[in-house]
Amino acid sequence: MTPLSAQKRAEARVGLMLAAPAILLLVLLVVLPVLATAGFSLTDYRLGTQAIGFAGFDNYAALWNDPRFWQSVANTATYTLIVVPGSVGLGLGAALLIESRGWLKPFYRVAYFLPVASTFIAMAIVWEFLMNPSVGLFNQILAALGLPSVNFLGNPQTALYSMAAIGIWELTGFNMVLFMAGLSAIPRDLYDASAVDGAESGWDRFRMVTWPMLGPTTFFVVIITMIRAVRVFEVAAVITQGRPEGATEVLLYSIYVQAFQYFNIGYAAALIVVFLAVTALIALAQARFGGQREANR
Amino acid sequence: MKRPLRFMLRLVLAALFVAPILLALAASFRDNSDMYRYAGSLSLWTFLPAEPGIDAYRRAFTLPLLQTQLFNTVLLGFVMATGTTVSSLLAGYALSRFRFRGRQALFLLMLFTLFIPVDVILPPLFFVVRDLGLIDSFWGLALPFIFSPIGVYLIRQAIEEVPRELDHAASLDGAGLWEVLRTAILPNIRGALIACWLMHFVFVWEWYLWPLTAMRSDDGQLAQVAIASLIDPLRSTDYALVFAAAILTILPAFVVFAILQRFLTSSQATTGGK
Amino acid sequence: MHKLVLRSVTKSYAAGSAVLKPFDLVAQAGELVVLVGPSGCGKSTLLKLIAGLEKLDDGQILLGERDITNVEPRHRRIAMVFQNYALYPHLSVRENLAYPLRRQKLRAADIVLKVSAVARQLRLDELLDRRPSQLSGGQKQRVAMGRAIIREPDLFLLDEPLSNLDAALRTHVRGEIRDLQRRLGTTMIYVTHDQVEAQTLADRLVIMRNGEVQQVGPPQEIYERPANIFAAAFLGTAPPNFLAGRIVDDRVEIGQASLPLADLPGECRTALAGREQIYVGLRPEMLRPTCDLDRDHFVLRGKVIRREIVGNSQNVHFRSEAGSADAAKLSALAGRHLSDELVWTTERAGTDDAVELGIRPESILFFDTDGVAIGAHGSDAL
Repeated sequence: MTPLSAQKRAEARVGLMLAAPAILLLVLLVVLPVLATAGFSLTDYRLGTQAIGFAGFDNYAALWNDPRFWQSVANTATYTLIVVPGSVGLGLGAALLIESRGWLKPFYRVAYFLPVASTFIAMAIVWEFLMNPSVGLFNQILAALGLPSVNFLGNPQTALYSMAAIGIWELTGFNMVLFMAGLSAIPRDLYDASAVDGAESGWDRFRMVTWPMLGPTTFFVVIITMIRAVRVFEVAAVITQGRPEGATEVLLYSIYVQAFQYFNIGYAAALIVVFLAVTALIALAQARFGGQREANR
Repeated sequence: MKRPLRFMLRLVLAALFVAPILLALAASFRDNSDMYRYAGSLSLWTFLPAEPGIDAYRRAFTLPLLQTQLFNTVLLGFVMATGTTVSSLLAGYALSRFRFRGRQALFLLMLFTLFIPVDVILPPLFFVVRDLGLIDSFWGLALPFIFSPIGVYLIRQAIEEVPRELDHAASLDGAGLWEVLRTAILPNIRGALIACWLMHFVFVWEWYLWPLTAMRSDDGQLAQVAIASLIDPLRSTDYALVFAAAILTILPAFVVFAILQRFLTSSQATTGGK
Repeated sequence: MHKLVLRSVTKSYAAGSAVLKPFDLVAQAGELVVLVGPSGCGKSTLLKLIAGLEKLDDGQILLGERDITNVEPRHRRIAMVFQNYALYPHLSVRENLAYPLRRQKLRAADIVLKVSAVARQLRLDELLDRRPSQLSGGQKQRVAMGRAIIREPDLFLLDEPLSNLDAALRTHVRGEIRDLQRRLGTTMIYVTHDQVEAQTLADRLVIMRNGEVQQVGPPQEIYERPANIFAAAFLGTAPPNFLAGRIVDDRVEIGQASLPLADLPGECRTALAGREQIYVGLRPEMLRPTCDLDRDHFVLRGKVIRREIVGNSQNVHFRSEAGSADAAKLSALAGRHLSDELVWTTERAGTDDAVELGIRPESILFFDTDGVAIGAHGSDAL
């Protein structure tokens, strides 16, 4: 061993030392639980019982044949597909609207961020109150306009969409803040350059400069929104309990019910594995697209 | 776009976003009997309390544990945000500036876990925390969230933006590893650090499922979970009280955000050059 | 004052691609050595190795009496000025200057004293409370220099310190750096890709290409006796006119022109004897109209294609039968594009459309077909 490689090893040692807390926590809090989940999913383990037996793929078979499982998958997917584009798009739009100077900027910033700082759960209550079919404000407004009342969260046709609307409201503000940070990092002279290159309208400038330069930010915002969207839970848990007719039954709620109400750990674990597999797929697709752009920066 | 149009659009959009909270605020000053009195027909008083009173807040303060629970939330917010920021800073520094075996693998794993919402792996996490004997304790509550791939990603990106020459200059000027981090890198990623801190601080207010499972004693519970239990589907809910409690819960996060928000959009370090 | 010695230093990044072939260099105490070469020749890497910012694969670095091969950068007592200055953007000029002293845990009073001394020396007094972002390029450069000299290091390393300045300022700062180095007497290694900068500053030049030293020596010596075509083409405002020639009997024949070997200096004559194919290099500024020359000389005739006027001199581009057909091969040897046009640099105002030029035999550069100089050249032993 030459002293030179000793120096490289010293660097490696310090690097590992610095990363150690993160690695430890990553293993303890993500890797271990995920492995444990995969393990549990092959058993018939129930919380509170001592016996634990190997069940093979029984849990997965049961999942496959459970219409409620399919409904919760479909609901979660629909919810995510509405909330992610909705809140990312609105967040970007709001950021672009506010970005152009003005002394009101901090005010707007706080306004959009308020929903983020407010707790999901408290706001779920507010929304339930607003969407209440008999006394809710929305229906009062509808009534005042001479329109029929809508049971937003009680009608299977509207419940999921109402929930998605709440989701967009909650997530947009944070996305806006992230986009504003991204916008402020775009060098001014790029806009001048694009003007020289013939960008005339605001749309041209957006297409030629803003959007490409926001690439990494968008990547980050989409990821973070997705994580927060797929774990939608509060409204389903506190207000609707999956009703009406399973219209608001979402994956995390199913997992919660199976694990902590029926203590059906094996079955819940299988649910989680499916969930992770799906997110892994989305992640890979994202990474191919976004990671490439990251690398090209 | 025409300027007045833009202005209107901005205002309307902002108003839409604040409205639910303002309505909750308004409702919290109502009397419960007042709550539905104007429900029949739309008027100004549908939006604003006719006879504003702070009775609901008085009742909220007499809730035996709300203050403790609120304190729990805030304390957890500080602990979590600080813990996450520190662990992310160290990991981000290592990932950005040091070459060691497994660095790429670690970064990829980190990117991958970005996509795993912690809530989803709650059942196994519950067992981990239980086996560590931390159920029903503050640290048990905090542990799963003291590390955040998002934070690591954010801070690594910020450190990547700091030119390596700055590290080099500092180390030639006589700075050791920690001094390089403290005197050359840290001051230039202040924006990202505060963003990371603030983000994880307010994220605590979103928690519901984890404290619901990992904390069963009432005086250790978080305010938002406690508020949810005020909703009783079987009896009529005391909405004024719920709103007052909710507003009180939001308040700390809001104040902290209002103070720190300007750092969220500050752009990152530039060198002395160019 | 400290002497710097590099002994067979090697460095490679990805497997296979060596950035530095075994590399030796000695900088005498107080000497200003300039490393010069096209980008990617390994000169900046070499600087980082000396600073300790990159680890070398093999070899040894000595500074003064110390072996610093495995010493951490902060203990090497080396100061470096970076191309982009690397000023701490969050610190004022004052704090930037004080930074190295704070790391040395100097007493506050001493720091104040030293900072003001350096500030006075570099005319930074007025700027002490500004942030780097509020400074002009030249001012930033001075702060970077100040931060380097304030701790009185054993060695200065400068990595293209002038490349972010405009041309006029560059000349000025160049002079300042030279004066400063003379005054302090500190050994300095200076990296640049600019041959004018290199020639005006250097006590000795090190010309590099692809991680290998091409020639080491005082600028004037390299200019007069380049070791190879690359070195010849690198130094000088325009590269020499390279022509293919042959030795026939006791004459050098280049196209129609020819020259008796007897006219050449002695060592050249012996080295050329017995060869066939050769290249000659004729520096544009060495060409003279035949009427100005008193003896019978090597004569080039050509037709003028165009003229470029630069101040009081002009570059006359012309084409001659003697013009080399080997432009591609010569370009490869020279590491830059060479056309088949010839150039004559002269201070005369009016010139005809046809030129007839000659050159003193002792000014002709001779190279073999591999581009290596024939005859004695001034390259130092490394």
